[in-house]
Amino acid sequence: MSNSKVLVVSHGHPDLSKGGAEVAAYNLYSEYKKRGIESLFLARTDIQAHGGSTFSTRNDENEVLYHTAMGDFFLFQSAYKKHIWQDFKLLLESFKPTVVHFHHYIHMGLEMIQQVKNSLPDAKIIVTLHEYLAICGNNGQMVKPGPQMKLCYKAAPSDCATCFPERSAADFFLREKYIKSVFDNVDKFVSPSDFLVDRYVDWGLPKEKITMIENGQPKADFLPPRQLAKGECRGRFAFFGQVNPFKGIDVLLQAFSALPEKVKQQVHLDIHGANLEHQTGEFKEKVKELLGELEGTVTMHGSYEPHEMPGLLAQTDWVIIPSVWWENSPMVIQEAYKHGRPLIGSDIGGMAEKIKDGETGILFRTKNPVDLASKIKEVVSNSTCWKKYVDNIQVPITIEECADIHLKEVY
Amino acid sequence: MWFKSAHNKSKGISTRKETPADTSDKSVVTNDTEVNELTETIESPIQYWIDICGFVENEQLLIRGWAIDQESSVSISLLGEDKIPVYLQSSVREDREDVLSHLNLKSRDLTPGFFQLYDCELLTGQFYLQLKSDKNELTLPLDMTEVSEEKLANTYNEFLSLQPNSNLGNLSDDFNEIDETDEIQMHEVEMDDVEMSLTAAHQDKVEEEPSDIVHYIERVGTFKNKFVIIKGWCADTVKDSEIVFSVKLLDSPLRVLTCIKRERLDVAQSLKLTGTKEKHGFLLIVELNTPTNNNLELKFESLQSEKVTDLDVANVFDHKELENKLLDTNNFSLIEARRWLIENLGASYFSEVKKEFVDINEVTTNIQVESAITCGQNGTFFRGWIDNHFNTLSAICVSNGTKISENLLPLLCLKVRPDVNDAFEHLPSNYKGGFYCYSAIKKESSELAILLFEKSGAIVRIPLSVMTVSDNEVMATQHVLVDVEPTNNNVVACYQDHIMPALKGIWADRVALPEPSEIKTYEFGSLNTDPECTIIVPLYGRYDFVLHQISQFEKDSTFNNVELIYVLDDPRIEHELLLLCEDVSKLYSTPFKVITCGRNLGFSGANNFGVTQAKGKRLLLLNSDVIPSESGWLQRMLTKYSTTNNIGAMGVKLVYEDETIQHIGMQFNQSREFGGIWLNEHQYKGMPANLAPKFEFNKSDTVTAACLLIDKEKFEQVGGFETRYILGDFEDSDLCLKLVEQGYENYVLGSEKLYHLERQSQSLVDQGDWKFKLTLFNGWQHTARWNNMINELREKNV
Repeated sequence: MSNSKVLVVSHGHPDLSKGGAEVAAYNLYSEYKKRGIESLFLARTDIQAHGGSTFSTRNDENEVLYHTAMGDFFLFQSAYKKHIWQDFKLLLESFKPTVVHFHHYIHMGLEMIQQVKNSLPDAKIIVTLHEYLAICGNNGQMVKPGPQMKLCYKAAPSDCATCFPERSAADFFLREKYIKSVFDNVDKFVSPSDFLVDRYVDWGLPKEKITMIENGQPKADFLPPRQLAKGECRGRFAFFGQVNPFKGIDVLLQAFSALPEKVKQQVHLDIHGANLEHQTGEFKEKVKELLGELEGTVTMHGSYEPHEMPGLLAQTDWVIIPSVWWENSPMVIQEAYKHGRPLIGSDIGGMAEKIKDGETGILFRTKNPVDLASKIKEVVSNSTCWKKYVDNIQVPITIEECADIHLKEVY
Repeated sequence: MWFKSAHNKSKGISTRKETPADTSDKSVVTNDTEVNELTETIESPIQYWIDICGFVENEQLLIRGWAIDQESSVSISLLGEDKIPVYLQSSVREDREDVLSHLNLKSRDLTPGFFQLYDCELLTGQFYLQLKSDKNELTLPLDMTEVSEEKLANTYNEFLSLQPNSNLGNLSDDFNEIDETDEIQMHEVEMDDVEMSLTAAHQDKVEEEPSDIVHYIERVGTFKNKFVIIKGWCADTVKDSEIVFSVKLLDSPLRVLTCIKRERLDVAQSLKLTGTKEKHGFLLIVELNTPTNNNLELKFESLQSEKVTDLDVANVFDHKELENKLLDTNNFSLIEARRWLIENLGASYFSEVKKEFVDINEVTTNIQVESAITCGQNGTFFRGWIDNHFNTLSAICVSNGTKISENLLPLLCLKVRPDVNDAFEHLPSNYKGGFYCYSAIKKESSELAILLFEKSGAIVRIPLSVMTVSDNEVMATQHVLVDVEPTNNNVVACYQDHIMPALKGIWADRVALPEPSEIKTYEFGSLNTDPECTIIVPLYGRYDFVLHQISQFEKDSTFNNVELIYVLDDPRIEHELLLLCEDVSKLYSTPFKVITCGRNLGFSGANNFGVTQAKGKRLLLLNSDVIPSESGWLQRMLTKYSTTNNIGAMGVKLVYEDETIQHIGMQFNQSREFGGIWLNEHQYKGMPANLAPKFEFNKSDTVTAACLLIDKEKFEQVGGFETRYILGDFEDSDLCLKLVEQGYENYVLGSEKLYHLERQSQSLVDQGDWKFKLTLFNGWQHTARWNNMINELREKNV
């Protein structure tokens, strides 16, 4: 690998947007650079560049911002194709990477993959899969549109067309054909969860082309258990993440609301997440109403910076992840494990894969507040299980390990 | 054609200065020298002087002066380019005691002064003044005196007051009507002497000789005492060759406005001339030079024969009959005939036909003009929508009361207007009703109007309320560009015929170089009087860059030998800028000056203006947001420039604040989407410098003007920056290509790096709609001029 030159493409720069995928991409890029591998980090942004140029730099000349946007989210088409066939092409031809690793194609366009193939036929093309974007037209969530948010188990053109009455089965057929034609150019896919691998294999990607690699985490020691007051149980719960319908915050609040009064007095829930104000009508009202009912039991904290995570976790016993969609490999699970905190999660997808029920945490029936309430009641009454789960936690892989696997097995 | 004389000033009358002595309304000849000078230059015993000569309303030419031949009177007539007399509207003779006493002729009974009004409506080109006495004749090209509009108007009023009746006072009307009988009386004075001498000649005329030509006059009549209409047939019975016509009144030639020939099978058959293609029927329309009751002399000429006949013109036609005569030729429909007559006979016919105009509601066509703009001295731009779905419209013209445009209907730039198509049930969704159009007709004394000529024969007049551009060229430009569809196939024709003349007119005043009286100069520190190089920095919007540039220049010894000129191109910031300059000059020793002309000239104009004030042999054109990265840069540029043979413009490497490339030379990129225009591309723009090519000194056909070094002489040799590119685009590549055209080579000094903190987006897609369209329009202008050279250069570079 000593002669390789890596171009890491991300749909955002972590300085500007702190999503899990952006951070994972940047961590890998930084690790390669540390090891002396010539690397370039290309991150898309929607802010304006100087003089309307397509590129600018951030931090140093190896971190290039790509000022572009996507115009068609159905076929992942760039809104400014010239950015691809002229500017991105010139960047490829100037830098001449041997590996181009896309951590995303959303907001930039699938055409970029085609362009790499055209400009640098010998370069290896790697795509890390996030969500089920290629499979599902509903923001890649594999959840059916509508307030009920029914889970979807398999995409098929005719079924997809029933989700989107304005489109025909043929549209979805063409979409699948097109995306697969672009994906044919990809040498290796990386998936952060086995569940995601299965879904993409189901959809038609060759299994041997996909490698499961979890996102690497910076090294950290377990936090000491939270100091308990006399007679206090491990009843401090926390939620981390966006406050939106997919994350199941309403399920979570309903569960707390359903707790017997006696239990309520022994528990507390901290919600670390923003964006409630950006949500729409019914959901927002429902959450607000529940929050009002649960005053004293639930505290809203708003958003947090990643470096604050250890401090917030230190005051927490359990992390709850009540998502009503599949999730992929949620960062919050790795964060919790890394710092030695067990989880309670929905029994589907990425959560069911990463949380071993009865070993490293507890699973409850997705979208079922009664079941979640009973699980909460259980852990509050049984004070020994917490320690058992913590002891069973397997520390997630480090960034170094993650980079090793990429370099050895993928590139 | 009538419409072609769009401007008064375009008539072929050159401008002549008024004599210095002419301070009053009339020139009083004050000394012999002046008169001698005048008479010496013309080798004729006729002495004359023109006090005032200029156009007043309705294309009438007002002339006042005097003429004398020794001791006899001189008759005056105005001739057109064809040397045929122009229609004399009215005339007054004046005694001019001043002239007589000066010439010692006071005792004689002479009236040398003349004061005349000619109707020049139907004429373009050069005019001549013909002075005729008993013995001598003099014809000279007429110059228009340089006189203020106010004075001309006063003189005209004076002329009107001298008229024996008030009828002429109505001349200020839209289209005037003149009472025939009064008219004739008025001219009798003028005509008398000429007439007497000529009547005799007329009587001497010999009897008609036998001729090969036969003819028959079917109808003759006058219209409004200004035109004679002659209908008939004629043929050369031997050769049946083409016959041409000429008409004289009292031996003076008349202008044949038109001769429409028509096939006359009846004639051909009876004369047994069916074998040829010759058409024997004719309709002549002749312009009189004065109202008359005398007979006309019509002359037929074929290849080998000729024939003359007298015509009695007592018969008077009304406008209906006139129209019918045209219809008889089978060349016109009624509405075509009407438009033809308006176009060719002007006010005389218009004043009649306008009584029959109908309201827009009475015709099928519908039109809505949404905006109309005066385009400086050029003409008028208007836009809106028109519903001609049932194809009922024959023509659409703009009229300013004295002139009518050509038929604009086939020229309109059309587009789909969904709102209009939605509003009218009969319009299909793809109907192109939106239009915009430029016409060279501009607003003059009376209101502009659109004339709709319906196929049914009806004419509709729709007044245009015209927006005049004053200090708001940008808004006018937005109106002009709003309907442009840059991806439309016919966009080039729209640019050429409509957008270009409109925008050129709108911006003409703004981009004109300042007069010396407009220029203000503020000096800060003592400036080098013999600098090696002058730096010219236009300032617009932001002025804080002055501090940043000077604080960087301060450390640089090159600036001892440099003249630094800031061209303030934004009157809004003058006060603040001068305050800042005052402070900067107290704290820094780099001398500089600020010049301004109190208006915004645009990037090209501001630089051109700066160059007129530059003392240096070389010029560095610099943007205010360009900041050096290290000292000595200018000296190194100058050294490189002076050691390079045949160099035209020299640019440098420019980078953004994050060290990514802003400019290392430009190249051309053809836009397929927008009609194949060439766009300037800053290659590697935004790319980290380490990914861009590195070079010391490279040829580059075009370089940016953000930092451009050039010999002043070469800059001036190619005429500086072009100002046709509105609001600045393409002027730098245009300049570079002009240099290449002259055989110079342009370079980029890649080893010299300056920061260019370019603010505004240069990217097409990020700009507002009108600005984007303006860029494309500028790009089209640039492409139209340089396409061949760009193709050649690209071939060479491959």
